[in-house]
Parts: sequence; structure tokens; C-alpha cells
Amino acid sequence: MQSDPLGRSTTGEATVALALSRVSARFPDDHDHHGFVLRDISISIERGSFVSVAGPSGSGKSTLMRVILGLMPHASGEVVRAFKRPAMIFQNYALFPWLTALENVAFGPKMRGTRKNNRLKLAREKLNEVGLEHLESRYPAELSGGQRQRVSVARALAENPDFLVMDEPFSNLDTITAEELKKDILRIWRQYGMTILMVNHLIPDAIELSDKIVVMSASPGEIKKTIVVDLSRPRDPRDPRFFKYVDLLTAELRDLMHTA
Amino acid sequence: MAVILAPLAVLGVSGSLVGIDWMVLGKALALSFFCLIAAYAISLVIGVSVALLIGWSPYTNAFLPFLDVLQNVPSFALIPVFILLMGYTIPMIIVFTATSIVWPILFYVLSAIRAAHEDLNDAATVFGALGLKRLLYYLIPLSIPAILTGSIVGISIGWEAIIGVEIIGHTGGIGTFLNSAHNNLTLMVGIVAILTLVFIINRLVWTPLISSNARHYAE
Repeated sequence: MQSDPLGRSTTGEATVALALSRVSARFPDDHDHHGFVLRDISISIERGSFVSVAGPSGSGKSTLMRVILGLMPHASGEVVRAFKRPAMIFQNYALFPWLTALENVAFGPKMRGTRKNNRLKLAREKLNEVGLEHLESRYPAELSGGQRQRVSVARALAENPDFLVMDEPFSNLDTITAEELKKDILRIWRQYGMTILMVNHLIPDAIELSDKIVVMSASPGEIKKTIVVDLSRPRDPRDPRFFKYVDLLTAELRDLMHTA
Repeated sequence: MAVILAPLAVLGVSGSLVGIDWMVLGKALALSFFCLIAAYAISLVIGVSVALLIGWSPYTNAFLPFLDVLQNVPSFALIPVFILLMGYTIPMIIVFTATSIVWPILFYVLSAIRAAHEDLNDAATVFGALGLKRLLYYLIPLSIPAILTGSIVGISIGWEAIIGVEIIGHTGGIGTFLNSAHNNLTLMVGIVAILTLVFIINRLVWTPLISSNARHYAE
């Protein structure tokens, strides 16, 4: 008998936030069928867990995120989404340049029809959570990279998300800013109890944050291995067991680089 | 203010020296300016609407070759057609001029929509800008810089078209004024009058809009 892809318990509540079964995808403009950008991806993500996706360039990590959120179609396979309120944080922030920080955060509630007073109050609360309440009237161009990414986090939080996708959120930030943001993300994850799926090419970050790391190979993007990070939190990057995971993930990714 | 008064002073002095009939020049310039504004308004509505609808549609690429052919039809070749259909009338001048102004507006807006970063499109989708909301709260604001650039380019082309058709059609306006100028000095004053108006519009309208746009749309 085939099991329920969402791992529903006897009470009918899904314990899995997302389940992909043999999902393949091509780029929309690949009319000549040059090949798959994703092939036979099967993965299930438990509700409330923090999962990272790592892999070399061309392994389709960002495409996988887009397929998961329904932003691009998949060619075959099944995607079961058991989340209701997804949100996303982008590598390039993707803030609307014509809106202030406050208006950017209030954008989602505005689309949902929340009244102006209520959505501005909510947006202020979320900006406050990321420490940017004093910059609410600034436009994105008037903010630093770290501040823009915080606005992007606040915009995601304004959705009260149960599933948060982050596409290389630290890549464009300096080390200190990235460290601070990482702490905030962990705090938010615990506080909101949401499921987080993060694309990240920085090995120590993936190990410090994740319950599970999905390693993908390139051309086409396939799942090579899944590493369960069995370390208690908070995690100490100087712990010898932490280094073992760093070595393991480094070796996996190095293998993929050589075979690419 | 001084930058606006200076060209006005040049126009005033040069016109007085030539002994220009200010009433005739003023009426001619006002008529052309009215036609230009009317043509611009029509172009703005049609150009932006068509570009947004095409940009909004999943079949954007199918429309492009068709639009490109239409854009490449030399507009002056259409003057006889417009005269045939509408006669030597002010509406004919306006409609003809609009067919020149509409293209830069349409193509600039369409390019802006097509060139939008995929992440920004995704952010709009993830945060709920779908259907009509996508048009109102994402595509239109996204297109504002392109509408501005398209308008500036379109209006400069519009001046050319309007003066050209007024010279050919002899329907009044500044083109007809220039064509019937009885000496070179009158011709020069007519040109200075156009330049003065263009300069004032630039200082009062486009420059503030460009500067406000630069703040709101910087990357």
C-alpha cells in the first residue's frame, strides 16, 4: 500500500510541509528539449524543519525553489504543498524600488486586502522585529545591503508564513552582517515555528542552520545525497563534530565539482 | 526662475527687433502646442495600455514582430492617407502626430516589463500581486521610468511630426507660420519661439520628474 506523501497522522494532520515525487523540470524556453534542469527530484520536508539545498552552479537549486512555490511549471512528477502561507527571501532582495521600506513590507497585506491602517501597523511591527523601524520611510536604494535584506525578511514575516524559502540570502552580504542576519533567522524560525527551505552555497552556514542538507549535482539537477545534521542547538562552529560535517559536505561538493 | 526668464528675454528682444506680430506667432504656437498635448494624451493612453496588456499576456513574443513592422512604417508616408480620411483638419493633425508619439512610449514600456528582473516578478507573485492587482500595483509602477523616457522621446518626435504635417497641410500652427515666413529673420524668431517653449517644458516638467524618478527607482 502506498503511503501518504504528507505523512498524515491518525488525526489527519500532515507532518510534512512539502513532498516532491520524481519531479523533473525544463526551462520554459527550452522548446528544442535540450534537457532537464531538474530530474527525478524526490524529497519530503517535515513541518517546522530547517532544510538547506547545496550544490554546484547549474544544479538547479533556484529552479527547484521556483518549482516548489509554483512560480514555474514542472514537466513531470508530483509536488504536494501542505503549506498555506508561503513567503520568499531573495538573493538580490527583490524589493520594489518605488516603495519605501514600510510600503514594501505592507505590500503582501495590501494584496490580501488588509485595510491601510492595519497593514501599516503590521508592517511597522515587522520592521521593528528586524530592527529597522527608524528607516521605514527610506527607499531601497537608500539602504545598505544588510538593511535591504532585513526589509526583505520583514516583508516575508508580514505574511505570517508557515513555509519560508530563502534563495542564498547571505551571498551579497559582508561577513558580519551575514552573521547577524543568521542569528535573526534562527530566532525567527524558532519564534514562528515555520518550515524553512534555504539555498546556500556556504558550507558552515548550511551546517549551523540546517536539520537536513540536500546535496544536488549539476546538469541535470539531481539529488546526490541527503545529510542529516545530528547536532544539538545552539551549534558551535568550533565543535570537532561540527568540523566532521563540514568535511563531509565539502567532500561531497568537491566530488560533484570534479565530475561536473 | 532665471533660467526660464533668460530664453523668454531672448525671444522678446529678437522678436521686437524683427517687428514680429506677437498675436500671430502666439496663436500659431498655441495651436501646435494644443495639438501636441492632445496627441500626447492619446498616445500615452494607447501606448501604455497596449504595452501593459501585451506585457501582461503570456504571449508577449507573438505580438512583437507585428508591432515592429507597424512601427517601421514611415509616418510621413501616411500623411496622404490621413488627409484623405480626415481632410485638412485639426483632428487630422492630432491623430497623425499621435501615430508618431505612440511608438516610443509603447516600446519603452514593453521593454521595461520584459527586462524586469525575474526575482522582482517572482516577488510580486509570491506576495500576491496577481490578476488586476499585478497590473495596478506591479506592472504600472514598474513602467513609470519607461513611461517618462518614452514621453520625452515621443514628444520630441511629436514636434517634428506636427511641424512637418502643418507645413505640408498648411493647416495653421507653428509649422505653417514657419513655412509662410516672408523673411529669414521671421523664420529665426519662429524657431526661437519653439525652442523657448521646448526649453520651458523641459525645465518645468521633465527635469523635476526625472529627478524624482531617480530617487524612487534607483537600484
